[in-house]
Amino acid sequence: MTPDRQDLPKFIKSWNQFYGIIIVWLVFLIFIFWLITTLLK
Amino acid sequence: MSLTDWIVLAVTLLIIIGYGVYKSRGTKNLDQYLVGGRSLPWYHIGLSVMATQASAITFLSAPGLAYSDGMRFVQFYFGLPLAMIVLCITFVPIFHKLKVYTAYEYLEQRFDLKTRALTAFLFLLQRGLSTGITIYAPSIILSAILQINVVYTTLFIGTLVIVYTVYGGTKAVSYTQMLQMSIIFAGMFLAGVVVVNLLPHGVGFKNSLQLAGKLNRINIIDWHFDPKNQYNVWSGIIGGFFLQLSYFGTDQSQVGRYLTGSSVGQSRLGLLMNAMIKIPMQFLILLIGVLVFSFYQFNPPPLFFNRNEVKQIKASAYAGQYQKLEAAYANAARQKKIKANALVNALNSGNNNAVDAAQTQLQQVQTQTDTLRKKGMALMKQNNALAEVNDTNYVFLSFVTKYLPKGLVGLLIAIVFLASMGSTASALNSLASTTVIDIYKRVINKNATDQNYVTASRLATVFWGIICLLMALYAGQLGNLLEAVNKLGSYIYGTILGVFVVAFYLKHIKGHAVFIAALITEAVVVYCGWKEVVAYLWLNALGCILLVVIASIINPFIKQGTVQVEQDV
Repeated sequence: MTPDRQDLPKFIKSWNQFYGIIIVWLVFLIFIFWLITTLLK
Repeated sequence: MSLTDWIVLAVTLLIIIGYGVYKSRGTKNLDQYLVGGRSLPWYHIGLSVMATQASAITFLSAPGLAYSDGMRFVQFYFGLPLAMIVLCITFVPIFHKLKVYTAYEYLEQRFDLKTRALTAFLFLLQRGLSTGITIYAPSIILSAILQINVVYTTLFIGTLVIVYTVYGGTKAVSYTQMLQMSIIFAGMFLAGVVVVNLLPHGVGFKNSLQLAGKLNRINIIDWHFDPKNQYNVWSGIIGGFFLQLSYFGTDQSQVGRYLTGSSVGQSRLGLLMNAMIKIPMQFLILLIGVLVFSFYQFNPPPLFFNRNEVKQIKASAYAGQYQKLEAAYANAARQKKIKANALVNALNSGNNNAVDAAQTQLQQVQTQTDTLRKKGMALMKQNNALAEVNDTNYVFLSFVTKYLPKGLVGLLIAIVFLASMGSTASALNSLASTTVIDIYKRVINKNATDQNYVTASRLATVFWGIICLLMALYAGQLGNLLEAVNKLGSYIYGTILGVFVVAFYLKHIKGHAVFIAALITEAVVVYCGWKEVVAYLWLNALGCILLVVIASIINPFIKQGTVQVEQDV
């Protein structure tokens, strides 16, 4: 394992996977916000 | 404020500054002073990056914005996680590999001295002017709320920051910011809980959100694209992406934060922590504003939240007219309470027709109160053309000091001080590092000892501290110039980002072409901003794209006179 990879949390295999998680998180947040906006209109 | 609040305020500030100073003792060389010996872990970096971005106005403005305009402001941050990813892939490994102290240092290695000097100068100009406002803006609000002269609040914040930043450098800044953010999170969470508890019996968290939703305050997502409106999903993702990339990638006050990481991985983790937490954090701060809005449906709010402006109009010839408006507003508030209760009952009964009828009635009263507020503001302008008729920044603290329990008021006031000090400390530290590394060490005194550079850094921090303090003390007299200073960042960031994009991705473009393109771009961006061609959020994207295009076009026609030292990165 490279020193750079050692900094990653154990359940994440690579930095690219971590970036993917961040994008999914952003999409999830936008979806939740849209849901709240729609439901509470 | 009660004695308990003053004690909580004083103890909180003392503990945090004492901790920062204690942890940064023994800072001797330039590496320790400017980049904390590149030894800090990811959570330090993450919290420090967040504390640098979150100025006091973030915690004052956001709840007030939600109160008056709803939660759509959160969309402004949608581009941030994407910007963090680009930073982690490109900027962080390059800056770490080259072991630079400032972002602009890299530009000389890639292009030439003049490009480095130009970007460093633009940064010093923008950050030097805007840091005074970072101190002034919360000072004026705190002075109005605490009824203390603004000179004292400004001097208090400014002097404290200068003392611990000069003493401990980056480490002191980073350690204090870590504690600051922890206390800020805890304080805001407690404030949210207390607001819910202050709602009338039978009106819970769910009801307060439903109520706010019916009055268009839960307008978090807007899919409609409009280049003149910066609060929609597309402006947030695209415009916000360029803004955040420019800010985090090229502003030394942020670059200096993640350069303190002990490795590329630790710096990346810190930025990705910011990518995950920033949007939910902003959402929760706005949510507090919405809860305050719901609270004021059942309790009478003041006609205007800025007490200083109210005091002025009540001492003028318009006092009688203003008091009549206040009486009408209080009457409307009583009506509002009745209609709000009716809407809550209708919502609880599940009868859609009753909900629609109650919603229409409440909206009518809301329109009535909005009109009365506008009349009050117009009266203030009539009395004094320079009157500040935007009271968004005063909504939250006005509520805090009136309704929150003893102790918590002191803690929330401390949060405003801490947030102001956190972002100011980063700014002073970055101004000092750019002055010493990019000017003093590079141009004036190339071969001095490490101790000499540390002393120069300390002196530079004091110098910029005094400049910013003077700016803050005289900010009230700047008038329209104040607004111009606030917008300065948007005029400059895009151009600097463009220079870095060319540096990283377009290796065939040389220094002369980038330098000329930067000058042309800056002129075009300033013109577009001045004439308000697009919302300011788009100026960063415009500057960056324009610079890349111009540099690409003129590069083949411009002869490079100097030898380039290119880094293989």
